[in-house]
Amino acid sequence: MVEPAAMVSVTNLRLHVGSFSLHDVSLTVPPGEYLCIVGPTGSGKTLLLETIAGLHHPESGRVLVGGVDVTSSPPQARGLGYVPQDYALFPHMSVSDNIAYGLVERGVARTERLERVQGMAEWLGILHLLERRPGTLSGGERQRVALARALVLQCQILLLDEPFSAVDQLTRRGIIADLRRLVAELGLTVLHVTHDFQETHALASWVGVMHGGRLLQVGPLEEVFLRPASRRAAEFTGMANVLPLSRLLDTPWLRPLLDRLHDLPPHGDGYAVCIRPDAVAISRDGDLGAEATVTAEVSQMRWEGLAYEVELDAGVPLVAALTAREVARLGLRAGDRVQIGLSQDAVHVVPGD
Amino acid sequence: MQDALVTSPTSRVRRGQATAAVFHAGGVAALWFQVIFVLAVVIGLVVFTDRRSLLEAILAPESRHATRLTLLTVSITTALSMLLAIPAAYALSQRQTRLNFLVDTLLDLPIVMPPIAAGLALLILFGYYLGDPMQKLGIYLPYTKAGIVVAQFFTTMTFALRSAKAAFDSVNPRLPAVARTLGSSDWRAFRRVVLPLAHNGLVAGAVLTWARCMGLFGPVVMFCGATEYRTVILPTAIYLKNSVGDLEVAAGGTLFLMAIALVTLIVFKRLGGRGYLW
Repeated sequence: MVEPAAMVSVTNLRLHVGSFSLHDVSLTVPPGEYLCIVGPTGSGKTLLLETIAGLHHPESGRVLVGGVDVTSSPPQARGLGYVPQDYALFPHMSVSDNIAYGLVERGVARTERLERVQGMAEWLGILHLLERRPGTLSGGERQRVALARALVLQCQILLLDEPFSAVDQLTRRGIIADLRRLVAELGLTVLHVTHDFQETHALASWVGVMHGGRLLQVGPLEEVFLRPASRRAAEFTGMANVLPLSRLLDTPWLRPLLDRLHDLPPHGDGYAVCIRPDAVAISRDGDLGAEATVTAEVSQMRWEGLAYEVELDAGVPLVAALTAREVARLGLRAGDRVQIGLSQDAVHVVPGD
Repeated sequence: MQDALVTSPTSRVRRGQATAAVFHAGGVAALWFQVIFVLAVVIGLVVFTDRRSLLEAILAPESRHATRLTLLTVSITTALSMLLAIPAAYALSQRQTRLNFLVDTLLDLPIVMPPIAAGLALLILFGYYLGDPMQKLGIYLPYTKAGIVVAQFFTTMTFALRSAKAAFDSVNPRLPAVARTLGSSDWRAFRRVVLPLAHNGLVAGAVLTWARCMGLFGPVVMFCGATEYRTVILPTAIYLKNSVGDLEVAAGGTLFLMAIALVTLIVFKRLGGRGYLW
């Protein structure tokens, strides 16, 4: 079986623009995948997206789109749909003219142009906005117009730079649902830059983690969030328990479990252990069926919107994530002493950067 | 004793309010002084000028020639300045290089240079150094109508450049970038996106340049002299009338120039122009 060619591929990309930089970034996005690039502010994720779009020339490295080397090609020759963070709608044009902009540049005849603009506007639910100016639109409306302007060109690859930063939570949910439908129906390959995990979880099939201009990890969504590849990736992806391996090796109740890990390094220095908070089991009666158990004290509890974060003192500080229902069933309160248990699959060792 | 040294919160508030009132009153007084000063100058001129002198300043044959020559040279200079300012300002606005500071400072020189010195410098370049070689090519600039354009251009091109740069700087740089991802070349993105958005600012810049040229005296008189029916423009005519003691007609010419300047200023402000004016 022949592997499908990558839709977007960058190799050893290196670039400095002002205080932002990319250091040997390599990345491959297979066709039809939705890749979210996450990273803190200033990590270089927007620079990466703009370089793929052709707005910056890399100092070294290559950019391939659909298997074709476009490193030296101008943006107009790359055939990519690009939606910047501020949407960059042309304020002197109507919504209709904004959407038709690229079609005019491609010499599409007026009748066909109108048809395609209307079709795209109807699909995105913005038909009633066609005669308006961008300045009169809400954040959500502007976002849909920017999407329509990029998608009307029937490009197969869409580059989105923090597309939901200017819309409220409710609008965001609506647009995320629409975007999912669009991506599925058009078979789009998407590169989406964000620092929002909610967006990432809702949309991404693949995730890349950037930090300091370097791509720390790229992989399927679950793998990146459940098994981050390094201490920094773990910390950024919100892994609540990232502890020095050397300290855990000195913790008697955890040592047997760690010894059973096949990737345990000979000494603990320079390594960290990630323990998934959702895999920390808690019980009142001690029947946990886990490979490592110990009695711990609940030091603090915080409601995080979807789950409780329960801070535990188990010789080492640990965080467990529990649903409200579980917390109610166990009748948990700060100061309680409970049995906690860990299984081998909840724990993995990462380089400490 | 200690109690006497410590100010109470109420007295601190009162002192703060008094300071704010003095600060505010000082600002308003300074503003009114300037408004009254300008008004006094304008009113003095209007009251001094009688109808006959004003008409003579506008309608006398030599005045009509000076007005025609002024309008012609100023219009050519403005067109020339904007034609060069637009690409130059876009290049300056787009690229932030280490040379920018040097280029910026150099281009500001004609503005801070004393006008007479600018005229003399032009005379040295186009008379002493380039006079003979250019004359062999059939071009001679000092003491000619073409020289008036050169003197006006040298002194006001920076205004055009600054205004155009301010107009381009006000356009979100992401807009032409997105236009390029949508299929535009650099030129098409400039023409379809940047130029329409900078349009008002550019027109305002042209108006400002035109107004600056209208009142230019020093470099023109130094580089082109003041020969009636040849190189006399409106500001030179005012100077000449004044120097022969015809103060009334000089005042009429000044009023005429001031009226043109006022109209220009209103147009400039209506277009939302930016640049060296504020």
